[in-house]
Amino acid sequence: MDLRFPEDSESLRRRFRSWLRTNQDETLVGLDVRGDEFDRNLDRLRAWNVRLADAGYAAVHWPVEYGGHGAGPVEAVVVAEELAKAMAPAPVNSLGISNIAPAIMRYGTPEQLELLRPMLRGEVIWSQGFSEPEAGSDLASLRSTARQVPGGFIVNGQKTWNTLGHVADMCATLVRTDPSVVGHAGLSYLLIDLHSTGVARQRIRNMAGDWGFCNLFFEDVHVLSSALLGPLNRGWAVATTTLTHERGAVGHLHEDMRRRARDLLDLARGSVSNGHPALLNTAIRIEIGRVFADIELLRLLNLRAVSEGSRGSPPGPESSLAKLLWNRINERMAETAAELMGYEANYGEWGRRRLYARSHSIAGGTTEVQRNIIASRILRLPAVERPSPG
Amino acid sequence: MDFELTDEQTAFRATVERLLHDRAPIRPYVRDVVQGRVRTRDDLWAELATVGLLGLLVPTELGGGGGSYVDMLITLREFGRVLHPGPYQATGVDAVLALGLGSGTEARDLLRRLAAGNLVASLAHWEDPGNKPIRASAAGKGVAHTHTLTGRKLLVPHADAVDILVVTVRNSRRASIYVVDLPAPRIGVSRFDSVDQTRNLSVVEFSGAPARLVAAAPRHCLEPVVDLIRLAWVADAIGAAGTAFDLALEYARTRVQFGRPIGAFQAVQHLLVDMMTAIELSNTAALAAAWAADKLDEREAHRAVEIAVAVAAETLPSAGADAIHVLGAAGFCWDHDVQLCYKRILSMGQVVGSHREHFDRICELEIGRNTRSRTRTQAESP
Repeated sequence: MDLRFPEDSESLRRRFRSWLRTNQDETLVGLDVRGDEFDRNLDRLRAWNVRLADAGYAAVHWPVEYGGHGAGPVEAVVVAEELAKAMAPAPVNSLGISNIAPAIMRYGTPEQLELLRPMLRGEVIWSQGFSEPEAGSDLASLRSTARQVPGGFIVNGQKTWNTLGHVADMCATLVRTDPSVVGHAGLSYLLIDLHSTGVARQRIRNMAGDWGFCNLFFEDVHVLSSALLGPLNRGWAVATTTLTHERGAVGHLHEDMRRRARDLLDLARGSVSNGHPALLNTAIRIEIGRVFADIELLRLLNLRAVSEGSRGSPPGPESSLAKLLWNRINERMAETAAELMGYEANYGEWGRRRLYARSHSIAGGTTEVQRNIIASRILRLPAVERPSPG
Repeated sequence: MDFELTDEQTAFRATVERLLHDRAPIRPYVRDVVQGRVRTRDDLWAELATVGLLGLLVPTELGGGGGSYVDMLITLREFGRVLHPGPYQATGVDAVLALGLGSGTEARDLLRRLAAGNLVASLAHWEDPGNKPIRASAAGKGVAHTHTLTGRKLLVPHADAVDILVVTVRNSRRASIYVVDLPAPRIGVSRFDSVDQTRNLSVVEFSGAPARLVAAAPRHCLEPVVDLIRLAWVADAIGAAGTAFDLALEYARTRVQFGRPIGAFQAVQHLLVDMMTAIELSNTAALAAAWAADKLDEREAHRAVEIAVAVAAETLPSAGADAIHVLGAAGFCWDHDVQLCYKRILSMGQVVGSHREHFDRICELEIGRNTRSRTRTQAESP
């Protein structure tokens, strides 16, 4: 057991830090990429992405032939941590890099592997087409179809909650190719060009007022057979491989959280509670203590996941636990800040964070789904009886 | 970067687990001790010495194993798993750590005898902050056997069953370690009638009891020892919670109601997941704290222990309570082992202190840290 990072990764940390000092785009520091800021700064973000990728820092854990350094998960964490500390934006395709690329690397044809480099450089923007209006937590009940025709597929259906959908060029899309079966069987994973005829986009405004995600509509969209990633009708396996490759990708989260927690502490330092400095109020101090303790737990879970990844052991419950913790930290920080700010609670950045705290128990698998995953995969509890499909 | 135990540690853990499982299982051993049918000091002690457990934390030159605090953590987790009712932690951890503050021949000799299994010891440390602190008076001129102790110590493990009591005495500047040979005059031991029958804890009243001074150090030197003792209690409670969880999980898989195992109900599943979360997070934080105590500076180690203690003290009691809940009325019965696990966890909370106090201290540490790092940032900026 040794929780220190090895010397070679620490020297990578120093190199990357000094590279950031000379190459960072100062105008993008601390940019909130969730809102309109993203659209306004997209060109700049892409230029920054190219710079990051060409210096080899966009995905150090990727194999060299796809533009990475063939480094291990520890190095990936080191780079993610430094990027977060410098408040520099991650690559535009951060979701693509962590979730879509691993599936392409595992199942891709030589032609599909060519997609990786432009993804890494942010030249081609990717979104993930999983959720549908009638298939959220129960993803396998999705209804979008791809009918086989000579040379390819005809795709019909609707995807929703597509992050980056409004600017994406490509979409990793899960569709039903075998209508004779239900559930996880009979799905396929298609890499669809969103500039194809028959694709329509509609932006969705979230409760914070940001146009954060999209509906994607597919109407008789013709897709070449070369868009199929992995075996036909085995798309669930392809999609879930991607989900197990997130290890190390959350390396920045605890740094982001720590910075916000320090903001919270600063806020408390300047606040008054019952006529006394807020930091003399034990109830508030306890909440702040909990936040810092949870952030440390988040860091440790990440280290555990990375340690397992380096050893090649199968993933444990870390990513689900990290998700639950992340949600808890965000909610507690937002609520404590609101308490400290009193009549100003609903203004500004903290007001916004309070709203976004509501998304963390939903996005990327609800807290209930995370618990279900642990119950079935880790605790091996008997399956919850599902209503028979109609 | 490696969060896993070494192969050696894994093998060691398995040895401890097997030994306790074979020689001191909850049934019948712990149950017999609880019901007063068996004394806790028996031939098991010799075996603990033989496999090197008693001297685990004693330096190798004194016949010990020179083990790390990670070794300590994984060992105590196993003792907690079987709710061990004997004075293992009292001797092998509490007393050893306190005596470790001394470098004189007396302290070294005691450590050697503890490691060999020739002496059973305990540490009298906790005091009621509302009482006058325990004090020592020199009855002669610094010669051995010429000090006397006056005051009261709480939560002293196995005070009625050990050969020596190691006693901490603090004044505003110094922490001193005294040893009292038992039986001794002018000592009153009254055992707590605790809800936890697996832990033997007493109030010890010293009224001029004769004691030998074996170590003295600046007051702050005692703090890491106290941190490690808290961590030891946490390790034990993680083990006990693990057993409670296993009992609940097994029951959820096999108990059938409404035509299916209750573990197929999502409400029960999520309860079990929350229990597992509590144990996993406590264990992760405790391992990191033990490692920090081995490898990092005192401040970092202290912060890591505070976090581990706060998380465990908050979440493990609810994990134990949920285990009883999953087992239903059966879990509420004296005959079920899950209730013993729960009580054992409650003892931890009694000793390590309220989770709220620890979260408060974590905040305090961050306030100090934040001030320092802000000063640094300001100094760096042009």
